[in-house]
Amino acid sequence: MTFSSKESPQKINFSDASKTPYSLTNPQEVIEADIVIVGAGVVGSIMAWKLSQKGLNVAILDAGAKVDKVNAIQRYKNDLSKEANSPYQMMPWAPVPDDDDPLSYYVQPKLPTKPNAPQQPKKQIAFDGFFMRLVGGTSWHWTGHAERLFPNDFQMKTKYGVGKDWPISYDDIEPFYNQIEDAWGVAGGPDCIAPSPTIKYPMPEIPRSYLDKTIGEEVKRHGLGPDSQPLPHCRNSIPRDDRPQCCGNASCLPICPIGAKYDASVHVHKAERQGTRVFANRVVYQVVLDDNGKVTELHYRNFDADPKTGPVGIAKAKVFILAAHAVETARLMLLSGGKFNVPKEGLSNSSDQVGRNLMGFANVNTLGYAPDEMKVYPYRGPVSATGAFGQWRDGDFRSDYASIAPFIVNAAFKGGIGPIEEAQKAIELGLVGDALKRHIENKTARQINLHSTIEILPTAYNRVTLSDQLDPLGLPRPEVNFQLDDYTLKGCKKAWDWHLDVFHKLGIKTITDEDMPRKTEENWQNFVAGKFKDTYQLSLSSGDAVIAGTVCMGNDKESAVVNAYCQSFDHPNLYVVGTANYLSVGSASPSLTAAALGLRSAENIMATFFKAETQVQA
Amino acid sequence: MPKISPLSRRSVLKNLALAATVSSLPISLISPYASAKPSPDTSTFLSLSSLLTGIKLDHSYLQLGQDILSLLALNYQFSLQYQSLLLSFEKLAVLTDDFLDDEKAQQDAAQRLVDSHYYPVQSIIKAWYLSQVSLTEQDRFNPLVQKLCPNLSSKQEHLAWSNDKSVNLQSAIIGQINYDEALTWQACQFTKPSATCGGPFGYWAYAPKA
Repeated sequence: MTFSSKESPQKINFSDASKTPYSLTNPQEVIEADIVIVGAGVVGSIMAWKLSQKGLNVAILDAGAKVDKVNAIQRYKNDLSKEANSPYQMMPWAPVPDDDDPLSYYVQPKLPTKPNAPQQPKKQIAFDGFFMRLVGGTSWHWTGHAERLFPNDFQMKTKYGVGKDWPISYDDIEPFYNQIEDAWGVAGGPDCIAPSPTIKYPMPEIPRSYLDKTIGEEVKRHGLGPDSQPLPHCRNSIPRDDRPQCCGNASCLPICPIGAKYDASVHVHKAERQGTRVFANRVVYQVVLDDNGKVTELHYRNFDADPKTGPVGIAKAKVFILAAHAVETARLMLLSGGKFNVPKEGLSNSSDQVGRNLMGFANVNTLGYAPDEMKVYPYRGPVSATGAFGQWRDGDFRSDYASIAPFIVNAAFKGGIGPIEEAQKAIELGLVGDALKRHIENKTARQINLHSTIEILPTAYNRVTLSDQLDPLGLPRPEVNFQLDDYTLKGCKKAWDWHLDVFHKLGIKTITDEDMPRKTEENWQNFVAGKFKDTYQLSLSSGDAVIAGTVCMGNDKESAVVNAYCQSFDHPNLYVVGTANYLSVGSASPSLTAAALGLRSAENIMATFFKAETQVQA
Repeated sequence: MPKISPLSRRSVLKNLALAATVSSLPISLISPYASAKPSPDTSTFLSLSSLLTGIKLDHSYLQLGQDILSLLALNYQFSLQYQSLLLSFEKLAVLTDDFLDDEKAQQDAAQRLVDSHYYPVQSIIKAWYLSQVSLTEQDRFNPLVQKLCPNLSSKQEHLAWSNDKSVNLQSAIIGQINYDEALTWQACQFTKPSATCGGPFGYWAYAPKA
């Protein structure tokens, strides 16, 4: 039995396990392996592939189901809203933030409860970080952007006097970037926004859209900045690795129907072919330690065996890897506290850092219509995005304000249904016949979505904790505290001002065909407060494309949870991987770095725990 | 620059028709629901719809037209007002060659129909352009709706599980007929329905063919 994200799994209660004859002393299933990984997303799958290549016995447990792509595409086509999660059947035992209501899962008590209260991001802002709990993880609906962090992202404190330094440098991770770009198949070239023009990508770049080129040329012509640039993409620009060339289905967020865009199911299957066992619908809820602080086993509910009761299972291994995304990993570590020898403050939490340093992006979202004579033709090619502006990715300004990544969204007003919604508006205007047809074409062809993501620094107060509100399994839901500081807001102001400059110079009007707001302090304050959101679709939001922090890496156990190899300071046979380890997010898409860290961690696991076995295999 | 053929239901069907095996089949074998000869009602509905949508709907749209009309007819108010709309439409004598060649006359006629029959005209246009029809919760249990509106099946599954039986059967719901067939995609020929291959690699880098 499965449910869409629109339905309400919270109404279903699985917390009563008394109906099952199984228990921890009589588990329904016992999994034994050299290495057990929790989470079959981009990091868990690539690590499983790497480790099982060396002959190790690897098992992956994932809370969600395996995705049937044919059904997923049909679900997407049939869904009216065409949201990021529309193609996917979320399991009621593995709830996630809903597309249009993240508080269906996150609990964020410090948000104002009064309807239409002004947004006050320095006090609290809604955390719109979306993720999925499925085999393949959130990569099913990722943008496909495969960007490296910049070298200075790893030394923010040293270089710019803000944020934190990573315990590793760009040089440390560079060989693993190269490996991941080859393993995934990244398309790029010297013109791409990247730390270096000399990166050797395995495929030629994905071209910018006509929309990107038109806006980029106008920005340059008006002296508002450099032309737009392409981005490194994890989608095939040529047939590669038994996957076809991209043909611009314009649906890659939320699903690529032909598999030209990489998703983690690629390496889930590759890992399986190397012998990894993938166990879907297993919700891990407890990590168990022995008296010496070594992880011995995981406890989980097996909804694959019985979707109504979810009988108890136990997974045993020499090494355990938590790769369940920045929210779920931290939640599991906190959930485990106070039981089975785990200290009450949580697993691997002697530093009190688990759940802290939650990061996302701040987003400046602006929509408008280009002038009549400037049809830009959106909704063609990879939807988000093929062109971006690179002037604020890195530079001395970061001592003062946050990194900014402005880009042009090919999906314009709304991927999948933007043209349909334009037609609906035209029909409601009373248009009919040929005039209706022409109006729809004309308005849709002029839709522009200029979007900037803005860096957020790690802080102790932005964090995930456990709520007293429960999920369908009777487990605490994640409680989130999230605020924007002056550093980020100053970056947001820079982005807002630039968007307005572009819109004014290019003659772009609001979605109500009015002049864009003027660049005044009052309008900035109105924008921050959310007063332009409903009428003009000009908004400031947070979360979105990245969820990071919560299990930070560092050089010592007093200030960090894991070391430079993602190994727990408190429990040496525990590795915690993924975007959770980040100490900065820059303004780049996060997945490539997480996977590179995962490969680096896998090498450390083999060298530390399985040297003899892997040498024999070699 | 690669040449991109604009998406067109008719062009797809035309290409299919080039295959000898398909071209020799009667329409009743191609579609299990289509009759060999269109019923007068459906033919008239297609003619009326062509005028209202501004897009010529030939007989390749017979099945879709029949489905749309069947779903719209579930609404009593629509059925009632549709008869009146048909009378007005027939008075326009739209099938004369002069009328079909005169774009302005067609536009004026369409405007007169929407002015005097707003509700049924809007319902028809929405059904074609959005491929959506307005229904009520009780229609969800109608076999025709279950067959023609695939977006309305999962909720029943959910209701059965959640024990939430407090649904008002008169509540409005939207039934989607066929996202790919929405005429919006005909109007916006520079794009195509999402999750449909758009053309050769890199087509998006160029302005669409006029």
